[in-house]
Amino acid sequence: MAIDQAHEPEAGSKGLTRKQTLGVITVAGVSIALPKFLKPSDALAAGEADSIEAEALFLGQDELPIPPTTAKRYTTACQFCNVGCGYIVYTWPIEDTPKAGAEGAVGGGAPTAVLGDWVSPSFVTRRDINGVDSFIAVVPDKDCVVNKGDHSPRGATNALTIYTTHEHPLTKPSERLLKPQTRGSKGGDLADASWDEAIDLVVDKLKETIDAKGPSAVGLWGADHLSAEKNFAETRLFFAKAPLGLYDEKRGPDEGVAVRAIHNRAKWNSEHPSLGEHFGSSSSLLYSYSDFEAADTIMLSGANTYETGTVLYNRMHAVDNNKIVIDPRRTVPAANAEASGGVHLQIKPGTDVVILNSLMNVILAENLHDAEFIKSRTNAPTFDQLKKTVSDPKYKPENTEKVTGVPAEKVRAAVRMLGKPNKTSILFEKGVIWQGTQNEAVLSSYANLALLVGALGREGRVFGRQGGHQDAYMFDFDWPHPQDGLARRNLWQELEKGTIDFLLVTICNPLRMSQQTKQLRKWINEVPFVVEVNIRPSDMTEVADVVLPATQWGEYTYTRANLERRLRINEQFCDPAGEARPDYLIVSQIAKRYGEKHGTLDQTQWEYAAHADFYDAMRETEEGKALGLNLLSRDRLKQLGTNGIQMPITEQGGDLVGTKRAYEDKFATEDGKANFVARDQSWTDSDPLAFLPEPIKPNDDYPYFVTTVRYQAIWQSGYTYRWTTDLAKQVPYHEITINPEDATKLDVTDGDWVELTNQFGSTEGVANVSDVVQPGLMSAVFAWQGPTDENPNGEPRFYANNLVAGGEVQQKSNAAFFKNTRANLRKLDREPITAETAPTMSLQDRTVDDVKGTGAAGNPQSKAQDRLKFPATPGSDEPAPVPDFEAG
Amino acid sequence: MADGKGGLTRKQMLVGGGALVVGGGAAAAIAIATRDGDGEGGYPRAKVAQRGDLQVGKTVEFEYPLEGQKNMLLDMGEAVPGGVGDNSSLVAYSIVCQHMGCPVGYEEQEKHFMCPCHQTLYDPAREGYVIQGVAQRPLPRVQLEVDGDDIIAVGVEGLIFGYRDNLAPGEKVA
Repeated sequence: MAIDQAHEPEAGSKGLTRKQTLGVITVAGVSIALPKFLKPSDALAAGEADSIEAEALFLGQDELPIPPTTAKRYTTACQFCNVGCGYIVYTWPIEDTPKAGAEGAVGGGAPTAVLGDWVSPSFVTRRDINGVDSFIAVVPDKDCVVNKGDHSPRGATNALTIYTTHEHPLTKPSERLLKPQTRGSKGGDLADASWDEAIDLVVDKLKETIDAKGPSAVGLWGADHLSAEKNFAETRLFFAKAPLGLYDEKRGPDEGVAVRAIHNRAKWNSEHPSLGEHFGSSSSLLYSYSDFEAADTIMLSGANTYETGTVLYNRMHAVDNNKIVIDPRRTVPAANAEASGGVHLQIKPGTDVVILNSLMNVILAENLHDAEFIKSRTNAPTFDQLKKTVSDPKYKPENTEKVTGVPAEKVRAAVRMLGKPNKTSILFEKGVIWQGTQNEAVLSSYANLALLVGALGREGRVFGRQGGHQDAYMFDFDWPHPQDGLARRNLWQELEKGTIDFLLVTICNPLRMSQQTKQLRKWINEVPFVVEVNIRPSDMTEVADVVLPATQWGEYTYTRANLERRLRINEQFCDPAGEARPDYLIVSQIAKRYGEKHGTLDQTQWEYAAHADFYDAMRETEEGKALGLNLLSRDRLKQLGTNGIQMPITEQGGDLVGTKRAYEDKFATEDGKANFVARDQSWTDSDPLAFLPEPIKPNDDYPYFVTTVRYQAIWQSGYTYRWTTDLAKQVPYHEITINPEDATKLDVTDGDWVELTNQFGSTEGVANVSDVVQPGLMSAVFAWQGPTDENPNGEPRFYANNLVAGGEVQQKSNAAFFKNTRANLRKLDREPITAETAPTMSLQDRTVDDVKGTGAAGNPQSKAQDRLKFPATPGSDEPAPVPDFEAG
Repeated sequence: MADGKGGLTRKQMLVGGGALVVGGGAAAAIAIATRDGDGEGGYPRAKVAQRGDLQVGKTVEFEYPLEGQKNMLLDMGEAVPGGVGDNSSLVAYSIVCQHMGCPVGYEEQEKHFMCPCHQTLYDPAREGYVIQGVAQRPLPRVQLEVDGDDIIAVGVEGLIFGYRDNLAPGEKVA
C-alpha cells in the first residue's frame, strides 16, 4: 500500500480508492458504509480485494454484534497455552442481536470502562450453526479464578479460529480438512473418499503391516497433550492386549508400536525424567498459580512466561515481590525483574549447572538454606554429597563469571532473595528442559536448588514447570506402554533406521515441529503408508496416503487440565466443519472396524459414540480412580464451569475437594524423603565451555549460539496465527534477532534478509538488530510458519527447526536441543524489508524498556530491600552479615 | 456470501438511497441505513491542530469523534505508512489500549506507545500495530486530512475500546 494516501491508484488496479480508505465503498454506483470497526486493509489481508463488499457485509450491521441475554451460553477453557484461561461462549441467531444502545449479555448500553467487559471485534464471528445463521462470541470469563477476564492475544482470537463459510474480514478460518481423502499412489493427488472407504483402507494396511512384520513396524506420532479422551483411545488401541488392543504379548514389549509425541520425546514420556531421582516421580505440576502470588521471591528460568503463559505472568507481575530471571535473553520478564529491584541472571546458553551450583555455593556459605526442611524431608547423605560438590571453590561466583558471563554481585544479590527467610517459588520451562543431552544435569540442578531453599510443598514455596500447552492429564489408564519409559522404542530412531511401514500421525505436524526437519522429511517420505488425522492441511498432508479430518475446539467436547491441574470440560458449541469427526472417535472407529474386518480386536469393546462414553469409561480406569475422576460425574464437571476442580480429587464430608499442591507431607519416593543429586561440571581457563556437547558448541565454522524463541502472538507452528491477520501482520516474516555488536561486524541492519546455517540445515529470516540477545547469541522463531510460506522472491518455505540437533544427540527421554544450537550467519543479496514493503512489522526491540535500577544490591527504590530480612550495604560487594538463624 | 469476484448474492440487496439490506436465510432482512453527518459515514470533520504547533516526536492529545474518546496526533518526522502532510509523517491513533482499555502513553525516546497495565507496545510508524504484548488488535487509526495549515480528523479505522460503534453513544466533537 502506498504511503501517500492522496495518490489515486490506476484504474483497474486492485488498489483501494480514497473513498474506500474512509470507510465507504461503492458497489453498482451506490455507497455502502463499511462497518465502523473494520479497516478495508483487514479485508484485503484476509481475502481477495474483489470480495471486499462481501467481507464488508460479513457482520451485516454497523455496530459490533454483542450477545443478547437469550444467547446460548457454554463454558470452556482456551484452546491454547498452559495457563488455560476460562472463556464463555455465546451463540445466537443474528436477528436476535441487541440493537444500538441496548444492553446485552456482555455490555452494550454504555461504553465500557477500563478493565471492564468489552466485546472486541476479535471475539466475534458469524457461522451457520445447524443451518441457522448465527453469531458466536468468545469472551474471557471475569469470574474464572485463573484469568478473571484477562486474556492474551491467543485467547482473544479464539473466535477467529472458528470455521465459517462466510468471508471473514479478520481471518481465514476456512482452511480446514473437511472430507476424508486418499492418495491412490505415492506422488499422486489426494481424492475425496467416504469415511467407510478411508477407514477400511487404514485397517487393511494396518493388518497387512502387522501380519508381515508385527506391531514393531507401526509408528504412532501423536499429540499426547490434547485430551485425556484422545489418549484413552490411542493407549487402548496400541498398548492394551488383545482383544482390547494390538499389543502382542507373545512378541513382547520390545516389539511394540514405536511412539513419539509432538516435539521430541517418546509418547506419554516425561520431558523431565530426572525429577524421578529427586522426588520419586517425574511429575512437574506441583503447584497452584496462587502460590506465586504468595511467594516473597519468584524465580523464572528458561521460562518466558510473558510470551508463553501470559496471563499467569500478568498475575506474577502484579505482585510486588522479588523476581529472579535466568535467561540468556533480556526478555520482558527479565527487564521487569531488574526494573523492580530483582535480578536478571543473563547466562550464556547451556551454563545452567554452573550458575546454579554457584548460587548454591553462596547459599550454603551464608547459611541461607532451609535447614529444617532439609533435615526433615531429605536424605542426609545426598545433602552431604551436594554440599561437597557445590562448595568447591571453582563454584564461587567470582570464578564462575567467566563461564556463565554473569557478574558475581548479581549471583550474590539473587542469593539474598532466594535464601532464608524468603518464601521462594521456582518455575522452569523450555530453556531448562530443551537442552538435549544436558537435560538431566540441568533439571537436576534446579531440583537441588528447590530442595536447598525449601521451595516445595508449601504455600508460596513451590517448584514446577510452567508448561507450553495444557495437559491431557491421563496417559496410562489401565494399559501403560509395555516398555519402561526410558526404554520405549523411539519412533525417531525407527524412522531413521527405516523400520516403520505404517505411520499414524494424530493432531500434530512433526515435519515442522520436530528437530532436524530436513532429515526427518526424507525418512518420512520413505514410509510406505502414512495416515494423517488433523484439523487443517499441514506439511503432513503433502505426504499422507490417507487424510482423516478432525473436529477442532468448539466442534466437539473434551476435557483438559491446565498446569495447576485444574480440570475443565471444553463444551461443544457448534457442529463440526464438513465431515470432520472428533479425534478420539476416529481412533475408536479404526479400532472397531479393525476388529469387525480382521479379528484380533473385539469390536463390541469399541462401541463408543458420544463424549460421555469416553469420559465415563476413562473415569473407571486405575489412573482415573487415582485422580479421583470416578467421583466426578460429567454433569458435575459441567456445573463447575470455567473454574473446574484441581486434581487429584477427593471426597471430604460429601463435598468434592481439589488438591492445591503436591508433596505437602511426603514425596513419592519409597521412604517419602527427597534426594539431592549433585551435578558437577568441569572447565578450564582456556575452554570455559568445555562441558557443552560438541554438536551445539560454537566453533570456527559456526561461531554463534542460536536459540529458538516464542512470540506471544504466534502459537506453536502458527496453524491459526497465519490466518489471523492482526497477529500475522505483527510478524509476517521469520525474524532473526542479532546483537548490535555482531550486526556491526556482519554489516547487517534492521530489515536485511539473513541466513543461518549449521551442519543440520539452514533458515532464512529478516534481521532485527536488538540487544535482547547478548553478543554471540542469535534467536530464530521456533517452528516458524509464516502467513506467506514463500519469501518475497518466491523461494520455498524455510524452517527454523532445520537447525536443531536431533538424531545424533538423542537421549531416550528427551532429545531436543531446541534451546541451544549453533550457526554462522550471512547477509543475503535481497531487497531488505522496509516500512513500505512491511508496513505493519515493527523492528523495534521486542521487549520493554531498559532497566531502571541496578537490582536489589543497589537500587534505593527497590522494595526488595524491605523484604531482605537483614541489611546489605548498598553498593558493596561484601556478603551481608550472617543472620542469627539455626545452622543446618 | 459473495458468489464470485465482485458480485453480490441474492442474499445481499441494495436499496436505493444508501440503505443496505442483508438477507438471513428465510428470516427477515436487517436494514442498515448509512448515517447522516458531515464526514463520510457519519464521522464529524474536526480540526485537531495547526501545522505550526507540531513538533517532531511530540504528541498532541485530542478527543474524536465523540467527547471522551482520547487520541494522540504525532509528527513522526519521516514518511510512515498511513502518514499525511508534506512528509507523509503525521499520524494519529486512539490511545485506549485494545486489550483492556487502559490509556497508553507515548515514550518519546523509544518512539512507541506503551500500556502501563500489561505492557503492550504499539508502533505509530507501523500503522499502530503491536510491537510486542497482549493486545490482539492494533490501535484504531484516526484518519487525517491536511487543509492548508489545519490538521483535520475525518474518520476512524478500527473500533475504539469500550464501544460497539465509534459514533454512539455520546456527543460528537464537531
